[in-house]
This record gives sequence, C-alpha cells and structure tokens, in this order.
Amino acid sequence: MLKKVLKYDLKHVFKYWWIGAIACFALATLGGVGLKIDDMSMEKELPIVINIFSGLSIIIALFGFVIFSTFSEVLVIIRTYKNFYSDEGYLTFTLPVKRSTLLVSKLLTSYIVTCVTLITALFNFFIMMCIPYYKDIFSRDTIIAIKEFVRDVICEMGVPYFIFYVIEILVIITLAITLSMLVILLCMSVGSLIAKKGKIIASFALYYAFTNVSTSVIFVYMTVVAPALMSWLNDISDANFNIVLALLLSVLIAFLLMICTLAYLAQYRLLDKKLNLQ
Amino acid sequence: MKNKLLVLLTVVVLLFSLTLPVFATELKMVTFSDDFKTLIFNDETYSRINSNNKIYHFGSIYDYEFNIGEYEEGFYYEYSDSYTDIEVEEKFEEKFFCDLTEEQKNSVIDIDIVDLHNNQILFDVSIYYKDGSVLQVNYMRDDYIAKYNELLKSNDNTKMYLDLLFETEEDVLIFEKGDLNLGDKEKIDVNDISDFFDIVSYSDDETLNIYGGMLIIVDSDYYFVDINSPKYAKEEYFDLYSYSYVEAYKINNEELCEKFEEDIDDFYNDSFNYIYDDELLEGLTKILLTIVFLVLPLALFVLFLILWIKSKEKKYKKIYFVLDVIAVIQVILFFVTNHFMFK
Repeated sequence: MLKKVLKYDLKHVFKYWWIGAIACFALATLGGVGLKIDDMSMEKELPIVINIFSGLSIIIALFGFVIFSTFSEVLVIIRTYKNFYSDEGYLTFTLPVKRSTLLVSKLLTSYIVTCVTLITALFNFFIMMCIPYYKDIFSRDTIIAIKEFVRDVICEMGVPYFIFYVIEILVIITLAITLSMLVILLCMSVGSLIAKKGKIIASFALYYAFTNVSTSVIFVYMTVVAPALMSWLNDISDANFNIVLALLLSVLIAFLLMICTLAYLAQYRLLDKKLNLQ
Repeated sequence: MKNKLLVLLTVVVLLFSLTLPVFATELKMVTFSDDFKTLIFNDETYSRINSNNKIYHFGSIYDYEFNIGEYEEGFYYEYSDSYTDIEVEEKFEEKFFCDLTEEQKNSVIDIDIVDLHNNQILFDVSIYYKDGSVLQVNYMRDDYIAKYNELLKSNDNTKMYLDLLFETEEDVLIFEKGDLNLGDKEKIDVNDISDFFDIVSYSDDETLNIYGGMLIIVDSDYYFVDINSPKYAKEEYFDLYSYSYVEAYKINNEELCEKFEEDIDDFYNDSFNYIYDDELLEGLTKILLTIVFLVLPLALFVLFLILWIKSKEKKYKKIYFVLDVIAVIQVILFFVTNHFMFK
C-alpha cells in the first residue's frame, strides 16, 4: 500500500515541481552568460548597460537557486497539509491505509523531493559554471587535481574509514531531512489542534518559536562544548583519531535517530488519536 | 498648502546642502618613480622598506576604538585609466589621486593605496600589472626610515606593550625593554609553551608600531623572544610553531610578570563576558555531554520500557521497543567513545 500512496504523493508534487526546475535551469543559463560577460569585461571595456545586465543576471540566477529549493519544499508541505489537515483529510483517513503508511509516505516524499531538488540545483549550478569556464573545468589539469585530492584524502584516512565516513554523513543528512519534515508536521498537527481558525498561522507561529528556541539552545551548547571538544580531539593520538571520529559520528546518528523516532511517535499519536478535523 | 510644501522643500534642500561639505573630498596627488622604488606624496618622498610584515597594523596605542572588532584599514582608492573611476570608503573623507607616466600606464592596470596608520607615514601599496602579477610593498616616509630601523634593532629604552587589545589607554601597561630584566638566552621547546602574546614596540613620538617581540609562558615563567634578532629577522612573519625550539630570555622582573598575569587574566575574562577557563569549560562540557548522551537516553529507556510493558496496542509497543533499543545503543556508544577518546 505504501508504494501506491507514495506514487500519488510524488505524482502530485512533481506535477508542479518541473516548472521550478525548468525556471531554475533557465536562470542558471542566464547566470552563466552573465558570468561570461563579466569575465570578458576584465579584458576589454564594455558598455555599462551590459555590465549591469551581467551583474543582475548573476544575482537573479543565485536567487533562482534559493527560490527553487524553497518552492520544492513548499510543494511537499502543501501536499501534506491538504492531505491531512484540510477537507481532503476526511477522505484520506477513511482510506484502507494505516496511519503509519500515510506518515511514512509523506516523509519519503519529502526525502525524495529534497534529494532530487539538490541534484537538480547542483546540476544547474554546474551548467552555470560551465558556460564561462568550460575550458578550465574540462581541462586535464582539473581532472588530475581532483584525482590527487581524492587520493590524498583517502590515503590519509584509509579506504574503510573513508567509506564509513561517507555512509555516516549520508545517514546524518537523511535523518536531518526526516527530522525537519517531522518538525513541520508536528507544528501543523499542533497548530490544527489548538486553532480552530487560522490553523496555518498557528502552525507558522509554532514553527518559528521552535526554530528560535532550538537554534538558541544549539548555539549555547556549541559555544560551550565546541572549544573543549576541539581541544580533546587535538590531544588524541593519530592511531585512535579515526576510531574516535567514527564513534562521534555514530553517537550523533544515534542521537538524531532517537529524536526522529520521538518526533515520529508524537506525530503518529496525534494523527491516530488527537486529530479532529471537525 | 502649496506654500507650506514649498517651505518644507526649501528647508530640506538647505539642510542637505549643509551636509555636503561632510562629503567634500580633498584630492591628493601621488606619483611614483619609473621603477616604483619611491613614491612621492605631498612633496615628501617615500621609499620601500623590507620586513613590512613586522609593521603593527592596528594604529597607535591610543586608537583602540578601531581595534576591538572593527579594524579600520584607513582609506584607499582605486586608480583606473579614466581618472574618474575612484571608489572611496564611506567613513573617511580623504582620497588619493594617482598620476602615472605613459610608460607606467602601459604596464600597470590598477593600484591600491592604503594609509596604514592614517598619518601619511606608511603606505601599503598593491600594484596590479597587466600580465596578471601583483606587487605588494610598503612605502615609508624617508624621514621615518631611520626611526623604523632603530625600532627594529631596539634598545633598553625602547617602549613596549603587550598586545591584549585594551579598551582604553589607561589599561595599557607600557614598559621599557630594559624593565624586563632579561636573563641568559635559553632554548625553549615550543611544545612546552602554554601561551604566547605579541609585544609591540613603538617609537617615541608614537607614530610607528612594530612587532617588537613575543611573550611566551612556560609553566608559570615568562620569557621574551626577540623576533627582530638576527636569527628571526629574515622571517617576514614570525610563526612560533614553525620551529621546534625558540631562543628566549627569561623575564626576571617579578613585579612586571605579576602585572602581565593580571592583564592576561583580564583579557580572558574581559568586558566581552567571554569566560575562558580550560578546566571550567572542560567540566561544563563533560556535564552537558553526559546529560544529553547518557542521562537522557537512560531516562528515556526507563520511560519507554514502562510504556512498552503497560501498552496494549501493538503499533505503539513496536515504537517503544525501537526507542528502547536506540537508547541502549546510545549509552553503549557513549562509553565506548569515552574510552577511546581519553585513552
């Protein structure tokens, strides 16, 4: 059942997502042209109008990336809101589908859309850089430099640790994306419960408050913890360094997993018991 | 109504025109010799100096309002072919105007000049050539070069102070090099150094500051490293940790050492309310990390174990079980990480 629900969620999101992707591609191309003009202006003087155009096109292209990312996330949030918290929710919760399936589908949709958006944005950024600098990017020297850099990094930490770190970082990113979606869902659920009218405003207010509080707590924590942690890491012998770093990342993964599971439990309970759409 | 608007407009225009003198600029002419070895400004000649990284760029000791968090480099301009394309820093009123010969214009694309001490004694000049190379040099006014060389040599009467970014001039502890009462030269292993600070020497008329030395702390003893001695003078920038050993002289003036200790403590616990205490910080960190990665998971383990036992719904039992497993894993990881980190 999960596959079907996921299929419809993704279909609904990607119906409009491709508009943002094409717009981002167009702006990235424009930005690339702007960079090319900017490069040319270093060698010869160009009319001021052309200089203004090149500057503006670069700025608009960069804005385009930000807007595209935000647009993708907003599409997922709108889909979730409509599906769970609006009139459409009456239909959703009468379907022969478990609440957990619905919730997992939304989380998977968010994760897939985020990954696809990130890959698309990176691809567009690459296109933007290729237009003015294709000779440098595709030169033999660049490829050799990249190979040497990767080889040096791998040699320093060893192949097993390198693979382990890559896996850990991917897991951390996955958990972070999941957690951010769960927080949004929780804010929407609690907002829908506490406000009969203005549910969206209530959800926004809760999300804003949560973000501020969590950022402050993390900031205070990092200010105190980071210097001591760095000092301890400096004192570790080379033989133990990789193990300790791998373990620290594992501790972080376990912590994020715990928070994600707690958030999932809270959201599941709200969907299951408390959400009253009447 | 029309008249009132007219009066208002007149007042606004008058007020605006009164502010115009604030933005008024005074163009100053700068020229260079053909080989860029000398610079002429205000009928004064400036010559290139060596060891330009020894110059202390943070203004005079009484300019501390520029030092704390807002380092101001002075004002600078940018030269271009048309002579009209000049950029000015907002806060400063003066700007330079560069007059190059035809031959210089053929090879140079741009020049940046910064008045390092805002007193037209020392200029930091970057010359950008058309072939892509950049020449960065300092030009000092000829009448100050002798003073600069004397400062580099230093003597017992050379005035110095510890670079601790004091907020007011009253806080600055000024001493003479002779006051340090230096002992014999010793070889100090850099790994034994617990802390170090720059010492700044300045000229009698307070127009020139240079890095005059370094104060290093080994256990509770204070040592002076003469960074302008022949051994280190060739280095453009003295980097303590690029050596395994440094030659230093023990500071035998105990009273001065006590004052250094006081000032250094104040520096670490200064008006920014930045608490920097190794032991306190480490203790706090251990407590915070233990709470988040040990106490919290243990508490959650107990809580969800109780809920797992009491719960009758299978779907919730599954989630409580998963939470318990994660909590146990976290506790195990905490102890394992602790073991390897403090081995």
